Amino acid sequence: MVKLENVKKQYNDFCLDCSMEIPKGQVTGIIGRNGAGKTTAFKAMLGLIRIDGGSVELFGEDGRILSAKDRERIGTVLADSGFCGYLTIKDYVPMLAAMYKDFSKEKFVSECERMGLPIKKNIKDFSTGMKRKLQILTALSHNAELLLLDEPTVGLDVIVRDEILEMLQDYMKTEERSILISSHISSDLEGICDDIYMIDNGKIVMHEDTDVILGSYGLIKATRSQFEKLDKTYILKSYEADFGYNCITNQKQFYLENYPDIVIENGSLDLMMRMFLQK
Amino acid sequence: MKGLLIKDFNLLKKRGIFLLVFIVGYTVYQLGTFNMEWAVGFGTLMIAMFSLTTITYDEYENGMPFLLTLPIRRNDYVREKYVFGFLITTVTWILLVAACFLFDIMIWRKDGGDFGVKLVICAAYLVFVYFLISLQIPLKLKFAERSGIVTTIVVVIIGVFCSIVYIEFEYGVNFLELGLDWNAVAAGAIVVLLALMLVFYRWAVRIMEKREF
Repeated sequence: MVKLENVKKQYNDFCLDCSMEIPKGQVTGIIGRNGAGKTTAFKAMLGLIRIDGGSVELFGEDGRILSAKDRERIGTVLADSGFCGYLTIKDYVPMLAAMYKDFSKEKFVSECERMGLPIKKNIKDFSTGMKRKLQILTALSHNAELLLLDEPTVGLDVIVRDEILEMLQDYMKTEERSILISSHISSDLEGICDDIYMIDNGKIVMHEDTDVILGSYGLIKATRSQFEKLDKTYILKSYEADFGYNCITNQKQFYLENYPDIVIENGSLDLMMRMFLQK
Repeated sequence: MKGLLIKDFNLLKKRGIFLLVFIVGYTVYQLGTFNMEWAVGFGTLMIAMFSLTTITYDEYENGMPFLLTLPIRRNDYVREKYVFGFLITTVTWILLVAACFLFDIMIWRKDGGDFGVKLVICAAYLVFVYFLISLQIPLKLKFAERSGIVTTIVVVIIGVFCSIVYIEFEYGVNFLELGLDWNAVAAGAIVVLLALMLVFYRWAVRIMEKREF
């Protein structure tokens, strides 16, 4: 559904250089530190920046010349941009109805009310969480085939976050839909994504299925003597700790079977971030 | 484009209401001083300025990137700004001209008077406002808040040029002695203005297409 091939974008002290693909029917996550290039990747997909090299394809078309009709098939949440604050939801409803043929006014308004969003209040007076909820509801309001969600859960409390994630799971019940979602909160991505890209300094440093991350990866906590005896064939990274060594492996089962005395924690996105991003 | 027009009309309804009240008040004041042409010109100019501030509202809190993820293309955005600007200035102009002329007929003279000359002056104001909108849209997209300074510089340059020409022709007296076909001059001026407006529109589209968000 979306394909980025060797996309390059050079800023003064930052260079995005990445390739990634979002297949149909899948939720793809993108994780990385602040300034790693997540938002730049989203902007490249949406044609908000001009890329210096490579190609962006959406629905098989060149992303740079995407028609308005194709844009109707996309729902977007941007981390740092949203509706003009001097208008209300009530003001925006006819605009959205004119822009999207599958937009349902009644459903959108009732969803906004259900989420506690005041219809007649200026959006500039909304809290960060309310603004975010409005963007998500807008992205979900017009039967889009693709959702591009840059930090959609930032600023939301845990209850609303769960509610939003549930809405995204409901959205995915219709076949042939896809989501690309970025978040700082790894548990959000673990719960919803089929595969995860990790980006650092503009480059993709890891791409793995979420099931593999959670099932095969693990953190071995070994004392110094255990570490010396450990078969290090499947150790990807190890670093010293107070008690001995922390070792990250992608063959957790091998160590569980052969070293029953060693403590092994399950894999997680936090673990992957520690492995790939910790210098 | 329809969606963007709805948004801008809603902005006009919410943010421009005080301006509309001001325009009505100012027009009534000017009518009291027998200055209907200026009332029409000023009101039209004010509403044109408002149409340009919708770009500022779109940019408010970095709103433009999100706007451009909606099903519109960048040239649609530019086209909508021109359509909105021309539309509200034309409607305002028609309403002001109708109101002022009615006032003129019913209160001042009741004989029709020199309506032709007055209408030409009002039309000249409208053409000037169209020109200003055409120039200001690309400047606003290119320079944002600094567009006012750039416009002032452009207007001062044009003003100085016109003053030099005017003085050169002994304060306009020699213009009449040139024996020009003034209808042809007016037609030529309109053609030049239209060409300039087209150039400004293309420039605005180019600025928008090159902009990164």
